[in-house]
Amino acid sequence: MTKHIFKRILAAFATIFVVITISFFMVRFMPGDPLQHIVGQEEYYYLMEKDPGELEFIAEKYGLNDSYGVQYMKYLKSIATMDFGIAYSNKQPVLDNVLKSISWTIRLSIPTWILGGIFGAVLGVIAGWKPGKLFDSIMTPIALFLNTVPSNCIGVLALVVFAYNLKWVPISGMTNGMTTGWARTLDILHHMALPLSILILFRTASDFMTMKSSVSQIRKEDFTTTAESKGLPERKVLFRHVLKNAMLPYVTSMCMQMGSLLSGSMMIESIFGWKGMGQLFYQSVSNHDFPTAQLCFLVSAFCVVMANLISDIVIALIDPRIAS
Amino acid sequence: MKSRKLISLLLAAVMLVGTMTGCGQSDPVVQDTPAATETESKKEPEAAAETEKKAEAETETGVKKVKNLVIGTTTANNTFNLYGQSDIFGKLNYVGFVRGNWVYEAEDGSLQPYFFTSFDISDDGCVLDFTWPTTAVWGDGEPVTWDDIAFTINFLAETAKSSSFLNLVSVEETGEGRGRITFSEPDVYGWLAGSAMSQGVLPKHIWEKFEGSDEYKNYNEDDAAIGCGPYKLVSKDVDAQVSYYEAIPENNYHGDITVESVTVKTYADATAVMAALNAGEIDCYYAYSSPIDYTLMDMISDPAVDKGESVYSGCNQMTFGMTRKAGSDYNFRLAVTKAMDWALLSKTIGGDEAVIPCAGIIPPSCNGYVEGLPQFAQDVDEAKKILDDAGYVDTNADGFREFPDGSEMKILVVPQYSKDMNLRNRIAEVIVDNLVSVGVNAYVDQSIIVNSEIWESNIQEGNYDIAIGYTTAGVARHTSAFRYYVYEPKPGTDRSSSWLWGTYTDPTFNETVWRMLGAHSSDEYLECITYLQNEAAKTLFGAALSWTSCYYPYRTDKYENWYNRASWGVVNDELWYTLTAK
Repeated sequence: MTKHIFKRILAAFATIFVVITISFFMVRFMPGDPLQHIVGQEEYYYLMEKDPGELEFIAEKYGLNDSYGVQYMKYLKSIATMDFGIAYSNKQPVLDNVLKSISWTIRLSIPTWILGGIFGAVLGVIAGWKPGKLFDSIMTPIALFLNTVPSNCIGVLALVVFAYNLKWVPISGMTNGMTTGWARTLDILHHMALPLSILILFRTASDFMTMKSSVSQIRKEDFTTTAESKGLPERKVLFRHVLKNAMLPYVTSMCMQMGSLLSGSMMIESIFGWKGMGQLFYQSVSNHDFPTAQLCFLVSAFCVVMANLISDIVIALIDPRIAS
Repeated sequence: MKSRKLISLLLAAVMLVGTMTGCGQSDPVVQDTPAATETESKKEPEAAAETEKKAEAETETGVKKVKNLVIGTTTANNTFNLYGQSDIFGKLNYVGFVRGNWVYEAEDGSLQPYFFTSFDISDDGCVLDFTWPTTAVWGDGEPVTWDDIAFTINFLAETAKSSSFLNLVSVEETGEGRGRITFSEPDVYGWLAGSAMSQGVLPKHIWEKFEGSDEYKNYNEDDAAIGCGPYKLVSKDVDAQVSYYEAIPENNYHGDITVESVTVKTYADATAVMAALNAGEIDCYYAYSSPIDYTLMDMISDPAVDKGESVYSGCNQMTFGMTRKAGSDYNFRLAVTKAMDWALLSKTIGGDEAVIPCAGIIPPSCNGYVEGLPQFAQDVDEAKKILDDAGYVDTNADGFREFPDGSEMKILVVPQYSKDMNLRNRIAEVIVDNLVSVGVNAYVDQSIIVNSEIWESNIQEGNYDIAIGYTTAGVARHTSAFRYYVYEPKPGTDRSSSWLWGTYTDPTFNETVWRMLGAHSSDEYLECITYLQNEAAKTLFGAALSWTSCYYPYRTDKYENWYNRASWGVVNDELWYTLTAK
């Protein structure tokens, strides 16, 4: 078991190193001149005419004139020292910007993960245990619909109805600002209500389908039939035999979802003006803000790799046959 | 058993973290100034962010002041640096908000004093004599002194290395509230008409630590925002994207300040801004050079919301590739202008309110606009006749005309690369269709517009027959659209030292553009721009594609005496001194 975990950890670190390298080159092969995005297009052409030395200075400062090799070594050093430089967009430390965005993303992602996981599991078990019955007939089409319609479509519709027409929730943003303490907490919760509801809805639908599929498959297994024929009550069959086996793929799915806890939902964050990692990543790519885009990508990739690792370990703990 | 305990503990830990969400950690930052402390003790910060309904104070003359003006924007509300121009703080300082700009440009294009109470340019253009308000104070309560003014000019010259001060000789005090700046070249007007409108006095006691260093550009501490404009930053909440400002009565550069406080809120996009306007969350919109798109005007559902329409000084324009066979022929250029569906182009670009442009390129709201130049009109038959008479006929019966020498003619249309290509691609589509309808084989090469570098290198090489570009209001203000047509580099420099997208090689045209950009007086500037408009009408080296309206909407139910300045909107240098409550 220990050997299994150790191998997985080594593989995870190797993957992260490859991701670091790919992220470095991928960002630099993006089309467009990053210098224009650092100073702004109008200012860029103004400086080119009036003060080209200033442009040269800025390029030197951000290492844009160095060779790829030198930039790569600087990049590795920056990761080791956790100094990711200054963001092109707001001239603030990249790490500060990213940490701030992460703090806002987890306000949405963690409740989504937990509540979506619980609701999806409970509803999925009910539907999968009695397939074809009334509950399943109602829930499955709803879940299928939510799984196929893009979340941004529902998000915009919800915004129009609940924010614009009914005025139950704010139009955008994370807080009205200028408040402290509990007033601020309540204000943030008020702003969170609609985007969180949308995210939980879609997460529940996805988890529901996973759990329902899993339970209904295990339901048909021979050992389930044997347990029932032994005269065990339905409840005991479900919780002692079926659920234990159905949990494996579900736990795997939940662990994989952990990988996206910090990367955020780009669409939902953009629609609701939630300044989390999703929006930060989108803006940094749009603006060719290399340092920020790199760190966002790195954080996202790191989370996915770690989630995979945790998933491997948890599955091995649940089912010792996997480790051996 | 052990594994189950481990999993349970893990899940419990995660749920514990989950219950801590929604707890706000960051508090709004309040400037540590005596005025701010006093303000905080007087009222709830939250109430200050809401638009007040009643109890506006009155001035001695009985004018009802505005208690709190709420400005909505789509520009970020993150950085607050007096020198910088980024984010909404920097953009609001273009209209003399927290920064006491030296001068400002009135609607008629004339330069007017702002921080300067008066100024006079010597006949040779080398000396500026000015007076300044000795009663002005900084946002932290310190008085503005001559040392601050002298420090600022020297800082701009030596630390910021502003090109406007390359020829600075001296800055000297000539009396109580009087000063003189001397240049070795006639650079005064160029400075005032150019960068002086986006610069202002810097507080020496805060900025002297940056002398000789460039750290001032990224400085974002609380005192980085202290200026001597009519307002001071009191508090900001970067998470909420809200900032709050209060008036400094001593800095009444244009008379009594009638807006006592201002709240600035940033929204995710223009749609959210329009929704906020309709809901009464904000009073007006400002984003410098980024008006609300005309397509969103349909969102206005409250009759109290005014569209804030005015003539936009920027424009979309086309440039002929005059170093290529087709563009170098006046008859071809004339035929193109006759073939184009100007009504469709105008409507595509600016909606129902847009107008077909005249031949001088720059819109009527620009400084030096020449009245009476011919307006474009589509005449397909005339276009065909011009092409026929000039020898552009279809010799091989393939449905497309050839060059007069019989060689194949394919007209390359290149829209300017930008993040949002939709409009420019649509313009290109219309132009290509119009040309095809008169038998000219026109096309867009998508490989040229895959990214800005490829596009720009093609443009610099003159690799286009018709280029579609645009001039922002900011560029139109002084530089003008003609900068995009110039071919020759600035005298004394080479082609690599600047961006040169035009192909009009006429020496007089090129010399006039550079002379206009380095004009030593208003008269010289006007003389040059008049010539350029007439030249555009005569030779058709390029043309505006539409003159549009721009929209900076605002509410009319609570306040009056809004002054909607063309291309700027209602948030301008005059707003702080004219707006009153109803």
